[in-house]
Amino acid sequence: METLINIDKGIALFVNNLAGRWWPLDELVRGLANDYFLVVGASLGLLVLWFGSPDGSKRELNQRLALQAMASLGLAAAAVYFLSEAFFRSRPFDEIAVTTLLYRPTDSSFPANAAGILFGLAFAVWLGNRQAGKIFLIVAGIHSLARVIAGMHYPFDIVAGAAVGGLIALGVRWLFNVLSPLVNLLLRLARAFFLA
Amino acid sequence: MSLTLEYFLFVLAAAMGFIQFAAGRGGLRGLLFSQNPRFNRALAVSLALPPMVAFFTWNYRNPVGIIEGAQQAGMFSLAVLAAMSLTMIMGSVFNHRRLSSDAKSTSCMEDLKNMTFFQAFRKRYLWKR
Repeated sequence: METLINIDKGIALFVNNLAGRWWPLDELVRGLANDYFLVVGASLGLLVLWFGSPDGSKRELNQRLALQAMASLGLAAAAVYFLSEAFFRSRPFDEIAVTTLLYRPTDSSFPANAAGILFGLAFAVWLGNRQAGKIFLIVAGIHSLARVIAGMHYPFDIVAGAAVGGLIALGVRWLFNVLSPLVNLLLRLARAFFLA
Repeated sequence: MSLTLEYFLFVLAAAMGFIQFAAGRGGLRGLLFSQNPRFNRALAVSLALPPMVAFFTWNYRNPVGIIEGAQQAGMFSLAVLAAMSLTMIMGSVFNHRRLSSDAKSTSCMEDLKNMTFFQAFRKRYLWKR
């Protein structure tokens, strides 16, 4: 375990070397790593999935995926919260000599919250729509890499967050199959207001 | 202006832009603010781009200003719901004369390809009486 943690710290230091060298890159990383830009962008991307299909049957599939993605996002956030309460890990800027590009959060570094949320959302879409899912996965990957460059997470925090997101997405997909009458009811309700 | 209100307004504007873009792709003419595809795409970009730039520069403008996660989720949901409602109302007003409620109804989102939200709503719920 000690070796794994040292490797993790080594990779974090190596990736964080990119920070503080070139101001345009720093500004880019600040924008991509913050809690808003890509998280809001990906969440709003679900609106494109919801409204954006011209074909009726494909639209229904995408709307089911958007619902699964929303559920995954919420459940992944909850799972990450409980895991971070159980396994506290200090942030890289508290332990090693990294350059920090954003504010300094005081909560646990492990597992990465934003990675859990974004990978949960992305995997939920990817499981049913590979093409759209790839875009969401790329967004999640960029955000996660930016968080490591910004000195806010260790790479292993990101991997753990992505794993949590992936598992939650699989669980949600299974749950949606089990609870399909309830999901159908929800879609029928949306149809009553011409939203599905 | 408080950070929460700022966040709400930015999400509202961005969501309206994303919905315009998506409705254009999905052919949901009843939701569009303009029936000219190019103009509508430009409108979608001009609605979504400034708030997305604001989100990109959030920590530059507010170095320690963050919104707590649960509050962010609540505000986001509220803003998206408001954006959807506003889009339906504005789409109905702008397209009232351009689209006709004589189109065949399927009683789902497909109706918004040829009717506005209010036309579809009236056809489904009020004409039956």
